[in-house]
Amino acid sequence: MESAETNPLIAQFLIPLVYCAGALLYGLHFVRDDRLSGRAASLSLGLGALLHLAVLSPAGSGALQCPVTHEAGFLSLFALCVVVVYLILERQFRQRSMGMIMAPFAAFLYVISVLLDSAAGAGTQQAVLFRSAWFGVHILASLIAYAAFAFSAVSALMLILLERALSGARMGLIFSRFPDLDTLDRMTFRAITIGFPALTVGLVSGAVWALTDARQLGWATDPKTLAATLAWLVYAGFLLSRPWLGWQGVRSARTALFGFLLVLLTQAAVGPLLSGFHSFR
Amino acid sequence: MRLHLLGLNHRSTPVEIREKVAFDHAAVLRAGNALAEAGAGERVILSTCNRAEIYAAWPGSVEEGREAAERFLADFHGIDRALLRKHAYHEVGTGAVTHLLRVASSLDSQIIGESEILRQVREAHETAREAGWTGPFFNRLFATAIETGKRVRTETAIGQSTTSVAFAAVQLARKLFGKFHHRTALVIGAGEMAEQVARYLIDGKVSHLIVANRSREHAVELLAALPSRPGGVIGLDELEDALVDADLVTTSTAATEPVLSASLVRRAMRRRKNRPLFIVDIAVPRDVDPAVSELYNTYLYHIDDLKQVVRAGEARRRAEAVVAETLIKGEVCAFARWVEERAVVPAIATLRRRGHQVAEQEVERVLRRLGDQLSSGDQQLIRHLGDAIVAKLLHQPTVRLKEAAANGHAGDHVEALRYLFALDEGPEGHLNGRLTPSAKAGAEDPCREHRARRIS
Repeated sequence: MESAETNPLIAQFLIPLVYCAGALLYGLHFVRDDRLSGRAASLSLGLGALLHLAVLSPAGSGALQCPVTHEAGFLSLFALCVVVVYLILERQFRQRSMGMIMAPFAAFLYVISVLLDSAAGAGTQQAVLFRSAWFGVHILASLIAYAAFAFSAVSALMLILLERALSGARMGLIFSRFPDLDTLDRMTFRAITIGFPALTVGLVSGAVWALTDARQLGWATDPKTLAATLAWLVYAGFLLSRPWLGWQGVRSARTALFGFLLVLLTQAAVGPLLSGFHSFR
Repeated sequence: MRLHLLGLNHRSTPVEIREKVAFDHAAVLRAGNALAEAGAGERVILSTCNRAEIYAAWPGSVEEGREAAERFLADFHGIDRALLRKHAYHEVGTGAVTHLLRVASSLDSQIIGESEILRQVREAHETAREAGWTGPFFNRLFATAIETGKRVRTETAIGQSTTSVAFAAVQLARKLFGKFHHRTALVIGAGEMAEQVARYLIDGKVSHLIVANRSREHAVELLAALPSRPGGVIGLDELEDALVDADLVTTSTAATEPVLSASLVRRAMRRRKNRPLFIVDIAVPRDVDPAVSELYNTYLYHIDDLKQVVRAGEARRRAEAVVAETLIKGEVCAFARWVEERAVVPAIATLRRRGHQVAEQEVERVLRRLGDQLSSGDQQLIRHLGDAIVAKLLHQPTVRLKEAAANGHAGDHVEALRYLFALDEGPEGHLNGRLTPSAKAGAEDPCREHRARRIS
């Protein structure tokens, strides 16, 4: 990762530090539920995102190229997408309780990317291929989609937990700190309305790239492509079930979780384990 | 006669049994008369959604009184006595007084610090007084309870994190819907509880308010008493249509059959496309079929569920409750002292009357024998002598008894006096002498400290 070479101190120490501080502050905010810790948490995560963007951007890395040539860059960009999507939704809903999970998740992704980056040398022979604009769009759109889906999964999980607490009239920490069920439902929905078009763009641009620039066969039957298409169908179902079936609340949340499970499958299992078209090696 | 309390509350008894022993107003009136037939003296019936309690004076021993009270309650509601014995709690004398004062102070409530119960205690006493079921003892007892309840509210912070069942309901709804400003509230039943809930909902800015009631007039009255919101009044036969629009529903009718059946709610849910529906059932017996809670996106809470909602402010209220307990102890002692003092005056009067009777008889006997030999002045002197000896003799006991009464332990002396001089017990028996100590195992005399303080 070129960026790490140009700004090694920022990339390897400052950004993880700021992200981790943000994660801790969101945890503190969840427990204490006060304005100060909430603002500090948002500020910290926002600052981390700015630094991260500066490091990843063409200007920061000093070269016009997509930063994603191996797993480390991929994870780093994903972390940024998670943070940015989260911050946008946080502002929109004025709701910080999701940060307790999203911020540590982003910090974790980033730290892993730094560790992987230092373990592996940057750049492979395939890097040439990756300079294509279609590929850039494919990667960015997919990562934004995954970040949005991650957010929707967290809010869906929170919804299910809160729903259980509500059904049993249990008034513990979940009841006092989670946003209300309606807000969680709308947040899940909103996140998926961001993720779904992004995934659509990701799938289409990926196909176009494979057909035009890469000129490789087998992309259509690649397990990752298939899993992503399946996820796309599930999320399409999620969006349609609302007006058609009146699904709201728990049923919607379960669908969102199922969709994210497929997303995880595309990432965690299919990517590294199976050698297919999407393998970095 | 002794003061007995027999009751069932939200802690001792599940709602399924509680709703069987609840008294509505008509049942209270019938039960009051039936109690007299069963042998009870003064009596008050306190029946709320969380408790059914009978305070009554029963003749005989503690166990006989308990038996009589249990037999009455079981027969009146047609339930098994063994079941009743399993769930009901029983208190006599000071124990019963303490319980009533704790109830009136909301320390025994599902939500400590709620204010509803004080009104309910006052109304229960009012009903009994108007029906002529109470005498000086019960009137004083309930006046003390109400006064204590007021003191606890004003002198402690127990009512400051105000949490009534109605408020708890609104808190739950808030967690489901967030803001209420696009929501429609449906209040079924136009009682006082319905009004309280409606007020909270309007404070929460619901956009529409529908009141459904069997009697349209009451519903219109309720709606008129509340800040105006678009909506209106409907009859109980229009509930299904109302449920399609409403998001927040509260029911608190006195109906004995469910007002909202599962099939009705299921149809309404289909028509409202499964948008979440929040129902709070404050009524006992239930207004909503429990099966409704199985329906998708339907959140049904019964009054028993609501206690959970207020855990938040509970720690503080519990701390205040400790202060309140001390205050209540003092009031129980003051009442016990009043009972004893009250017993002292008739006891002294009877004793004196007896003394003067004896003196008079003896003087008359002497005068009959010596009458002719004595001048009218001497006769006067002898009459005076008799009275003087009795007065002198009884002076010290009278002073001592009054002192003992002021110190709150005249009960023993009065009993001894009545026994030693074979004075009659008086019409109210134990109610007029000394409160029976609490029958509960390990119960302490609540007034010991107070007495010690006064004596020292």
